[in-house]
Amino acid sequence: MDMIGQVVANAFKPLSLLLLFVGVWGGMIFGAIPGLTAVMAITIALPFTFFLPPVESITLLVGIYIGSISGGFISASLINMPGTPSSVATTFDAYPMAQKGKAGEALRLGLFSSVAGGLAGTIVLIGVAPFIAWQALKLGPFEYFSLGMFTYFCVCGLLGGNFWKNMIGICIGLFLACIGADNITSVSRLTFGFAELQGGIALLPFMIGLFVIPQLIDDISRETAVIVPIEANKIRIRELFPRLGVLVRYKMAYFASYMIGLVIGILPGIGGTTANVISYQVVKSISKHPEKFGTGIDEGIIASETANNASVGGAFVPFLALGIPGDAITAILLGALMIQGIQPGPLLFQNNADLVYAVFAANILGNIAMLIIGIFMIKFFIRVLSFPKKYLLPLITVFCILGAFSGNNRIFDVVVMLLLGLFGFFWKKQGFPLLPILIAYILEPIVEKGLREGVSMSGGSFMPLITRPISLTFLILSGVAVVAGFFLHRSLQGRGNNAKA
Amino acid sequence: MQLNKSSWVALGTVACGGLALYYILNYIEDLPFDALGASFFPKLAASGLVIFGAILFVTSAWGGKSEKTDAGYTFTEWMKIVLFLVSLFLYVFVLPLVGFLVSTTLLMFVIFLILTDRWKPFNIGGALVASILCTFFLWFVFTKQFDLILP
Repeated sequence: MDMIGQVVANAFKPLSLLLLFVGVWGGMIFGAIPGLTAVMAITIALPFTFFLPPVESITLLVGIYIGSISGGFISASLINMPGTPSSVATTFDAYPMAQKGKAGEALRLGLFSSVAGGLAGTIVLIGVAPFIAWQALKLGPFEYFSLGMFTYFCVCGLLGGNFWKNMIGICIGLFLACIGADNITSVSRLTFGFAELQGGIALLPFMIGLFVIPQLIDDISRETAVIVPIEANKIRIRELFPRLGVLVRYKMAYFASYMIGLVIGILPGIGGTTANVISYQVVKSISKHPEKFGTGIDEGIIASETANNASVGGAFVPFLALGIPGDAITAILLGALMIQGIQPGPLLFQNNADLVYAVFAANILGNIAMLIIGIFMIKFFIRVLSFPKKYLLPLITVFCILGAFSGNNRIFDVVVMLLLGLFGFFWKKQGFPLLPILIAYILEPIVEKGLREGVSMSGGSFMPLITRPISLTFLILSGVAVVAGFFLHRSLQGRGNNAKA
Repeated sequence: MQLNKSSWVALGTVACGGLALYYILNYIEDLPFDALGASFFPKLAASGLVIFGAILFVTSAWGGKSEKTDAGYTFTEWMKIVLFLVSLFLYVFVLPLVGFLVSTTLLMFVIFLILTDRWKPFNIGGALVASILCTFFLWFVFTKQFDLILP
């Protein structure tokens, strides 16, 4: 009861509510415009959070996260372009439905399914995260090292693409995180004579450089005109009011996609992008009318939008309970808290319980805000879709520069951001993923501290890694994640080929 | 053996990893009381780059099929990218010399011009006004509201 009281008290602070609504609204704009990503939205908002208390900061960022993951369904439905990768499968049925003159229905289903998935994911988050955090208090340094290794192998195995490329990404992230004075002995590492590197590469220039600048370069080279169908302007607000009957009518589709989204969200390295595609395939396989998928069927939209939003709640479970980010967005959220001097993990529930309750509250209210904003501002979002990016990109560029500069008031950080941006662009262009670099960079201090402390305590022996049961379990799970990832992606590729055929 | 983009990147990774390893072995000091030493993780990362780079080189050069990469850019798109990057690096150079207001207005204006396909006087004038207004707005928010000291 005390926890519920805390959640409610945090939720209804006027500033928190305002920031949450602004966050969801802004996130939906970024989610709706193809080319602007959720990562971009959150990274740009980071400099503002320096000037806010931690609870209000995390509320704003969670609002942006929820809004940007959901906003993608608007462009997926109206212009057949997923605003975010998490809405790829939404285009399969929402767009054909809109083409049949039922744009209002497609948007209503997308919005309602997003909210349903998001709220249900939050319930599990509230129920499970404190329990896992309580258990995690028993973890020692070796267990933290093994948990970090498990996350790395999960990311490499389950992210898809070439396993070795992902492993190279992990090594690059580890290498970049080692730059600066060593946390334990203060010995200079990899500074190459630059005094400015003594403190390491700051988080904000790192994240902006690696994730926002490459996307900006790509967007600047490919300014495309978007044509919103005329029928979209005729949508009436009342068409978007949720109809609870669909929950009963499509209960199996909702349940299956919710479970898939949740489990995939909890596992590091996969996220909403994979969740919506797998959920679509599974719901199609259990549907009574699989042949109608792709023609504008309700279950197709439900499968994709419920799963990607349920994955948000799932991703928060390891993030809050263990301090382990599951995807790029939670990695950036982790960075945001670290900048504020807060380390997510089991102790967060003891030392910063208000922050945990704020995340719970923001998840619940963020989904409700999304429903309200989605219904009453749909006309605005339709206009936003037609807004030329050439007016937004210069502004985003300056935000990036200010973001990199604001941490330490140094031009050097802006230069680092630009160099990392160039590297990120080149790396992406060669088909190498950036997520492993970020995850490795964020987790390196925990992993290194765990191993070095553990080995010091055991008198120089590595054996506790395999003699301690929890540590051994994580190491075995690392191998399982790699093998499972191999079969999962092979199976997805097979389904993709079948669909093409 | 067939060298593709991945093989070249893999070779580059091996070379960079090797150089990093050389630097770590020669320039990072390990203190006696530390069981693993400050150089352990950098060594681990650099060795990983060499080993995984070598594996990627072998698998991509002898593995057969090439992997899918991003679609290429046209000449105009490349020009836009180069101009954007040049303007960003020039901005960083000019910022401490002329200050935030002038350099940022110019940067925003240049990016707008890069993004505009057809230059018309009305568009250019509008872009200039928008650049000035946005710069002043950002300057006001960050310096007056957030107390950030800008050059």
